Amino acid sequence: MSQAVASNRYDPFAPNPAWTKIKPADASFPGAAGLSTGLIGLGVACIAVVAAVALGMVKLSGSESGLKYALFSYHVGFAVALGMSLGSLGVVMILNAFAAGWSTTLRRQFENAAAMLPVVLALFLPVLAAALLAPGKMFKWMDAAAVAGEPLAEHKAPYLNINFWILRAAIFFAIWLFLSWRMVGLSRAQDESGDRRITSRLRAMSCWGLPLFALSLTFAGFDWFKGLDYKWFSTMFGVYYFAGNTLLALALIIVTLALLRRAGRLQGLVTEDHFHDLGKLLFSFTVFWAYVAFSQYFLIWYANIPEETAWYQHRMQGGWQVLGALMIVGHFIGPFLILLFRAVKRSPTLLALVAVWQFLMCSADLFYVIRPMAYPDSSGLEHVWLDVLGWLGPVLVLLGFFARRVASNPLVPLKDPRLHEAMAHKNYV
Amino acid sequence: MTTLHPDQHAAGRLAGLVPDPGAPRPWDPVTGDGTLVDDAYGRAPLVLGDRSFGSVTDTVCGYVEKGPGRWWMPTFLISAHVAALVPLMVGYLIITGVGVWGLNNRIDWAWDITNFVFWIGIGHAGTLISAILCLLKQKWRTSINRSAEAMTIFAVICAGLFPGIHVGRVWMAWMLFPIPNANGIWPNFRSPLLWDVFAVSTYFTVSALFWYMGMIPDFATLRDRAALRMLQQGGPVPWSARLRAYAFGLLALGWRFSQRHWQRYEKAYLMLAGVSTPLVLSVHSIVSFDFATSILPGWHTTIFPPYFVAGAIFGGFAMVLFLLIPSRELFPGMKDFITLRHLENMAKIILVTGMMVGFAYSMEFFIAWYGANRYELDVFKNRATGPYAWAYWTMISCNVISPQVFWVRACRQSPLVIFLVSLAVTVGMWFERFVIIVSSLAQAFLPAQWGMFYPTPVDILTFVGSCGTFLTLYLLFMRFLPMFAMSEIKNVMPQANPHAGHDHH
Repeated sequence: MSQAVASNRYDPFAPNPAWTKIKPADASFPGAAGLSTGLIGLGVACIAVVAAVALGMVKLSGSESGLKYALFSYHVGFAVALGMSLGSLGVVMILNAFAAGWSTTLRRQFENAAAMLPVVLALFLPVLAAALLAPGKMFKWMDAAAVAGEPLAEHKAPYLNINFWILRAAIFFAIWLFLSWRMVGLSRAQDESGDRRITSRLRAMSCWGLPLFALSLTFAGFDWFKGLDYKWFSTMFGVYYFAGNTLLALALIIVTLALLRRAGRLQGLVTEDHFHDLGKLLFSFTVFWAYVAFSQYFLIWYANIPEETAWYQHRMQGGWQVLGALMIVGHFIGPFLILLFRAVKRSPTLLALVAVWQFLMCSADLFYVIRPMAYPDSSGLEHVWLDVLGWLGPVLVLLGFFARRVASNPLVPLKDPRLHEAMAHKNYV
Repeated sequence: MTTLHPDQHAAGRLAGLVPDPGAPRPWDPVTGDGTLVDDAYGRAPLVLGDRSFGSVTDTVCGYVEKGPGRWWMPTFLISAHVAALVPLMVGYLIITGVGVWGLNNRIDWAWDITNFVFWIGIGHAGTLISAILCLLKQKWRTSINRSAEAMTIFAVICAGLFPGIHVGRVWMAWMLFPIPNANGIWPNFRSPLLWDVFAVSTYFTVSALFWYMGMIPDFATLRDRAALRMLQQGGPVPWSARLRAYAFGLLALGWRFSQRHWQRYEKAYLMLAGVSTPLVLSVHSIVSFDFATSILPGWHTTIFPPYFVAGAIFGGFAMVLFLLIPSRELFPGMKDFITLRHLENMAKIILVTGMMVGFAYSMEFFIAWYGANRYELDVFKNRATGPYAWAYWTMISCNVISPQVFWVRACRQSPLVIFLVSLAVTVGMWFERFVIIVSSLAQAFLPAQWGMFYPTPVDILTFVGSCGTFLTLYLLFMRFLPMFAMSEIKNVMPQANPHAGHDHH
């Protein structure tokens, strides 16, 4: 520790010698901009095809309703895009609340992903439009005629009604947009001023923001994913949804950082030791996801109460059981065994490969939650290309805007007071 | 008032710039004892008092060698007498039958299982605190891990008492284990109650290993100091000194502080921490399965596993604070190791886990309505407004409302307030189990079967006895075993950093 800093400890603007060690190459990275336009264009094209099917401009062979199919496939893509961004917001707030030092150089990329929430709001608009213009196509309870006289729907009407549903969506997005705007904006402001008090403010805001985040995320999960089957309920669903989102965020950021390193950036800022710890986080959230998913399934299976088991029963026949088996083997056992190895966690390339795999598995998990609601069996999978486009569209749009943001911001917080801790981060054992 | 930061103070002393290491620490209105630093650049010191490695050893070993002080023996005698209630009450129970408890046909689990889950929850926290904080590289854990682990062992001992005696015919309790027998009767392998037997006994074994292994280097230090004292004293050596040196020598398992020993020790410690963490989660999840696999409204809900784990951390941290706050007043020099920052950190964890538990309470309530199962909803309505409403609202005020005071900085920095909240949380966590178990059983499906549970003196005194047992064991731990992991504390002191006091990177 230098004496100059020590004697100025209470000066909030005192410079940290670590700041000067950031190379100009890491202060900006304009190279990603071209990639961004391509990704967004591709994503919009995918969404356009899905929209064409939804509007009946492209007729699906055999299937009676292209609209329903298109809406459900798009919903999966929306869920993945939301998960990446919302999960990242959660990670940013958790890192700030913990006053974490090791992760200072990683935080900017999580912030960039959290800053994508306005894009997610735009991606939500088709879901909203579908709810307003074609009620009941996705959320059966929205179609008053279809559920008339249905006791469960009537009982839940005070919560499951279209006006309250829209109001809640507005509240969720208000909370998320506000939190991400402040978390990201203040961090960027610190890049300019180097004011250490911003770190304290971010910490305080994370502390009161996290309870709001937890509640809004839980109820968003209830509204948009569990609510697809209004009959089913599970107190664990919010935790399950949180675990999946955080995994998506970690996967996105691991791949981003690995690519940036490959492009020659972040040398000495994001090291093998950071990948090691990111790998541990990916590992622990893989285990956490499995723990939550297993507990939810197991308790419902064991008690065997019909109104709970119906949801799983539906997914254990008609071909969907293959997806269920994939969740056990591909989402848990495989990554679990691979991530046990130290060498995998410390290699950016290998870890990024595992992260891509987990990204696909998290998408499949959301698919498993969403898509079986559309059709009773996997004969509903006759147009897999549409499912792929519905998934790719929102994801590519989000990734495109994300790439633009990565390109237009410093790759690390430039004047974070804990920069030196991240630079010196080591895993000795 | 000095503006010299404690870190700077320590570094200065190391560099020979601060002349008087023995001077009393100045109390700073902003940083308290010097650790409540809110500046993002630096980290608060974890050990105060400008201590050298030697003085840490002297202080921690001193607690064992010199004894804790005059307060110890009276406290010990009282709690030992309270602990004696356990054999009395259990003996009476076994001779007479479980009818001496207030159980009835409807409420066939009450204080017995409440006490079991209460103690096992506290028991789960200790290892979780120690192992998870180790994996998360939280350096401040070094001051609390030993006591937390000790607390774990003692709480599991108290917990283990209740399932054994609640089965009615205690002499048949061995049938809990799958032991081949002439009648060809086996336990039901599909029952979580049986998994509990395996889970809890595995957990006890691993926790005891984790605790004991951590103490081996400290035992060796105590052994060497005891032997050295015998040599220095000269003349006839009293038998007690011989016994001390011999006992610590036995416990130290031949530890000689060699580089190789340390290397293996650290690897083993990390692996045990890695094994303990999922173990704790799975064991407490299995405890929650005892309830959640049933179809009883109020018991069957999918959030139970993580909710129970959060509750265990919550109750465990409260118990650690409940034990440590008086300790740091009673033992000289302990405030250098358990600083205000340590207490504040733990208060924050209480706040976080308290809100997790509150989240689970509200999810249960919301889904009880949303799930549209009228029995489920009625159980929850009854909890809040029925004959056990007083217990429910005690639980809510202790577990959800009382920790909210920690949003206020002054509250989470005041040992007295933290102590009171930890007391409230301990009470609240007992009531949480009582509410879950008794209120669900008291008003289940058939109103004709509804009834109340009234504890008998035997119920109450058995629980009081288990508290006495816990406290007695903890007092013995304070008296005879090293309360801090000395090597780990030294590891987080500025001297352990080769760059301390100068700027070579």
